[in-house]
Amino acid sequence: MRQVPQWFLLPALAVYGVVVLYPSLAGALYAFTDWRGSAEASWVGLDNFRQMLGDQTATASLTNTLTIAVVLTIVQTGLGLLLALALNSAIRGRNLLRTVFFAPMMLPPVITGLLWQYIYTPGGPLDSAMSAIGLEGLRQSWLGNERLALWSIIASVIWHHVGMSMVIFLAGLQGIPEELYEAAAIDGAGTVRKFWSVTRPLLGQAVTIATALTMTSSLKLFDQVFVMTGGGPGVSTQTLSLVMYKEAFVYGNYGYGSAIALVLTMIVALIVFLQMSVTRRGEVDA
Amino acid sequence: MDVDLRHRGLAAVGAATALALLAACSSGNASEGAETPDADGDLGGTLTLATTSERGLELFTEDFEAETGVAVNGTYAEAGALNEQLRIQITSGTAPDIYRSAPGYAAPSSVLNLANEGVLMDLSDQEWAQYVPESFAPLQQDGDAVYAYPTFGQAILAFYNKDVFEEVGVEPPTTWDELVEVLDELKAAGKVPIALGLADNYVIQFLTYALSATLVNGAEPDFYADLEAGETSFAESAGWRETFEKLMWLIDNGYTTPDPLGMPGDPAMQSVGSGEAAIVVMPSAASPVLAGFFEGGEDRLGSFAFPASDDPEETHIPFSPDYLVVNKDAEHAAAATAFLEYISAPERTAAWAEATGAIPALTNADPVDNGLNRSVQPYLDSGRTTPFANHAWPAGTIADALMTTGQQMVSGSATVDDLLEALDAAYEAASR
Repeated sequence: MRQVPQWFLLPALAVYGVVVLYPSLAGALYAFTDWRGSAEASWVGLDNFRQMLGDQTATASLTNTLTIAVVLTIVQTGLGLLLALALNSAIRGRNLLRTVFFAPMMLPPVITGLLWQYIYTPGGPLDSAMSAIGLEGLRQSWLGNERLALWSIIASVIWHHVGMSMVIFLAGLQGIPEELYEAAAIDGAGTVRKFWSVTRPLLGQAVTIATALTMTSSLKLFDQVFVMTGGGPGVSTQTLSLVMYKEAFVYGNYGYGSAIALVLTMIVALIVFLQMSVTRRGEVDA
Repeated sequence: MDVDLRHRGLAAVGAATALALLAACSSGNASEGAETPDADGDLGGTLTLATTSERGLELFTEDFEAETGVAVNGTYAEAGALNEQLRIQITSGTAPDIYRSAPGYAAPSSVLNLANEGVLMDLSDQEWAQYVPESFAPLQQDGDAVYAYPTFGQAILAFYNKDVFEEVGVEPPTTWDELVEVLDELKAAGKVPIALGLADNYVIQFLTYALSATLVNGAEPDFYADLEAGETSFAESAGWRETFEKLMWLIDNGYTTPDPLGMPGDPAMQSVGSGEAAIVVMPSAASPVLAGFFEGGEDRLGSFAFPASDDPEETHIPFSPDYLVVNKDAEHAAAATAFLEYISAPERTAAWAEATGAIPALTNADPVDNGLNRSVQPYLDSGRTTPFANHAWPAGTIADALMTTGQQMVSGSATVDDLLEALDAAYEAASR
């Protein structure tokens, strides 16, 4: 095969360097300053990171962000897999159902945030539906209760994104050769055995992709939280992205906001690296 | 695929990227020097202007353009987005000639923060400056320098549904005791007495500031001077304690929307329009939105000063301006000051306020005869107005502490003492 000269990469690398690398590194450096947007920035060492440790909002947002990431990754991926398994079988109307489950993905996150804020309004559609089926006692202040608000947001995000996980698993399932299931059947394998010995290992790549995408998007979760609760009540739904946005763009604390952005970036990189290291071990080629 | 996924994993770096791009832009220079107005008044050129809405402005733009030969190029955005956009433009030296700014130090692009950065023109030599109300001085002046033009004023008032009041047979109260009686009667009639949508955390400021205007600014007029001098604190202020205790008393005794933390601000306003609730406390600038929820039209919307004590003469109302400021490095500074002079004519100041559902901000403005202005005028005449509390604070982070810990107080996970301590901590941090 003819080799393409490596200097062909230079224009793309130059653009990448200017629009990604330089701003990223400069942004990282500002994390060690007290820059407030106009006056000269002074080097403050690790002060911004020390401030984070003593900041009730920042520490709560770190806990919330990790909770969201873990729960969403497990539940959304699990539900996506179950949906994919169900809709990969020969049930009637499966194409329609695939469209129905994927449709929320087509909505912008801000719209879903507004939609679910309305659904969760006290006495709103969710409460009315619960009353209609005799579950009046379970009516709640879904977004107004500090213990429930984060879980209410997580539920809405799962509704929004589960279609993406489902589609990834469906693609994975359709790449598994039918002959493998036939061979397993000849060997006497039942449904559970087929799933465990054939489907599970051959879905390894799909698991890697689905979990990586869910993990990264959930660690950066912003839109729905911003729209539905603004981080409240109190700090119960604050996320790192939201705190970073407020500090930098609302209060003009660009240095501190950069420090939060840097921590978020490190967390995303580390977690996704670890997660991919684990999930890729389970990958098997068909 | 691996590489692609890793890049996705690092996508959060975009946040740092945005911040760094701001930094990269900061070395840009604005046009140098400001023009002085031409002697013949024929200015020409294009005046760039950025504010939150064309409402009010559109009354004068065409005539101003015809009179001066200046083309007005306006851009409009919601206040939060505009503040962020302006902050970036100011940093990069590309801010418009005239732009909207918030009072005091409430946001990074507020008047006094920008004045401290040296990016605003001193307007103290302008004719209209002598008509700026004295109570606005702490929000727009540094010594003798005047850094902003108050386009209109807005007051935090109790807005009520007249039909509901007539149905229940109650009148607007003037004292705290009367207020409680009215709330009791409304509650007994099955109405939500006060609509409160605390799911939008900024809403907690409205009732708080309505109470603190009387209990702090009115009863403890030296509080902020003493606070700045380090001689008192929020925790030591009887007025601030009473403010939060009264707020919680109203919530705990069922005088507000049930589960206020689950109710967003807009549906709360809608509940007043529909007659499900009777009163909502909010800034008058939002009253046109509230009026839109009234089936009977804006005539069915009334307003009164929210009482916090038992002497009507002690009642103060929060009253703050909205501002336009002039870029110190404006490309067309002469046109900018001419524009402010044009809109500051008494009849235009009044017309602007009337068009925006607001209160004229300059003391020489023609009177506006509508319900809102009739509610506010006695307090303006007797000097019983104070700035919104957050406009007098040295940074927006103090209001953030109020919103965050205030929500926790309402939900029961924090106390009044916790909130007062949080305000003190935020104030101390902002004052460093």
